[in-house]
Amino acid sequence: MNSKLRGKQTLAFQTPPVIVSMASIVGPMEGQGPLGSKFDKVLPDNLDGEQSWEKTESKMLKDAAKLAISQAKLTEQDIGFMLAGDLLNQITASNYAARDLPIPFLGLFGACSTMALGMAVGSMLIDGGYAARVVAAASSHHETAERQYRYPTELGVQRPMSAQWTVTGAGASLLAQDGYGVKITHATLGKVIDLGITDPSDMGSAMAPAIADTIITHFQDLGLGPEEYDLVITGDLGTVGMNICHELVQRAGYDLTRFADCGVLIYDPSQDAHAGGSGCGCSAVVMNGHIMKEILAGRLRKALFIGSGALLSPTFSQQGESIPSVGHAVALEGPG
Amino acid sequence: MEQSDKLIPRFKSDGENTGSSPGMGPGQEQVSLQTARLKQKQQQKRQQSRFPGPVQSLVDLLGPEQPKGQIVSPGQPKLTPQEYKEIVERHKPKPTLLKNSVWAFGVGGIICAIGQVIQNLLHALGINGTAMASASSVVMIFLGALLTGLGVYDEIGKRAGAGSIVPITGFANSMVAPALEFKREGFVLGVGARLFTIAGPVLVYGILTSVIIGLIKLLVG
Repeated sequence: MNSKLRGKQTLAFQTPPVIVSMASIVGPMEGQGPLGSKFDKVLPDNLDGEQSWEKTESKMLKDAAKLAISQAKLTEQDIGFMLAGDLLNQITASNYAARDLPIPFLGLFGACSTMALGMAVGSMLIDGGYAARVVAAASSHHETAERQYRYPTELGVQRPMSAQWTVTGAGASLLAQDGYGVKITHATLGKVIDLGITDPSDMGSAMAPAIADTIITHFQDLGLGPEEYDLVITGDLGTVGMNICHELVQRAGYDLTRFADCGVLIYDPSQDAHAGGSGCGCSAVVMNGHIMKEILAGRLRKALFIGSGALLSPTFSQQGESIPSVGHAVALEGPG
Repeated sequence: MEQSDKLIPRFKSDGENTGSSPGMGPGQEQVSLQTARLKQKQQQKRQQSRFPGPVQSLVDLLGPEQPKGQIVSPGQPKLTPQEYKEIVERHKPKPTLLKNSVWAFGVGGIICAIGQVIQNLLHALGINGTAMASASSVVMIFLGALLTGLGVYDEIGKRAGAGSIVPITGFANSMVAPALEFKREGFVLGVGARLFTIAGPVLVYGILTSVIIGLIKLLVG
């Protein structure tokens, strides 16, 4: 009965869904970063002519989904379901983006792991035979996140070195039953893990155990090691979380040598982003704008992408609770 | 489940060197033969190195800082929050205390010096006493608000920390920043309701303290 389940948490897709097109839209700061030229569109400013940052984020998400669809030379009618999420309360950016699209919609919240979660759930829909094509998208916006989770944007506060910078960006992947593109062969859905980190300006440390657990479980469920992948890439652990995660995975006996993090890649150290980028949009744009293209170009054959989500709530945080986190992994393989 | 477990052998590399990962249950039953075989396979793979050229350069390009983890005491049981805290402390960047203090001292001092210049100017204009103090505060508050509106104050605060929070310009910043921020939610439920989100606690406890001190003075003096 559970013929597609491997081990405890890993799904093996019988007919691996194919990512037939990708889209990435970023804000100006991300456009100036080391990956700036890889993205499909760079906004001139963080408002892009909208009335509010929230509206900009929503538009960005909608545009990314539309761009992924049009780049595959398809129309919205051809898409079975849209799966999207963001960081705002009630995942508003996604809901309002879906309002303008005639596609049945599943809202997802996995904090910054949403892109990986969307790819995993989308793959389930396709491999399960419930849809021929699914668009998975995620977005975040620096200012909308700041004002919801932290302080007003113009407040003169000092950020600690472990803090991360929320990426302004939206990415979308169009998953299909067949076609040419990067294949999603497996997905490992993570457990929510909390080792008691309470500092909201140190999300990397909060997330590292959950991500390490998902990576280790993925290897154990499939009987693989890190050698299987040309690259193991996490969503937005940042420099601090990345080092901790590396150590935790090593404790379990696996040595991650080809290890990267979308949050570390997206900004240059000179951009003052401290520990790196974060937010749903971070891994969404780096994966869809950069890593998938590297796989398509044959420079990477297999990659394991682990979306990392800190399930932070300002309310719970103020009530003294620590930050639970989750990591979802998808195994990607080149078309060749 | 039964089927899948048979299909795919579970393993752990480096038999002696295993420690349970955080938040993982026991269930680490191993078949030594399978482990040995897999280890052998992995070693072969490692030697082959599928993409010697381009990937190496790509990885160089990918990670500006490839982490170098250290193996901690092997064979450890489940990681406790306390143990994890120790790991985190080792990896967390230390705050640049000296640099931050110098910045705070410098910027705080400059703000106070500007205040003094304004007081001297007011004095030269013939304004003295409490009128002078109030007028210079008004000017400093205006400057703080202006710099917030121009998007400069948060840039100063990022470096100066307490140096720009403590002076009265910091108070202006804490009022104007939410006013700008919540304008889009309207003047009543936005600006009106959220204006004191940052300054509110300062006012509440500042006023409370002054009331208590006033009462003490009344009773003692």
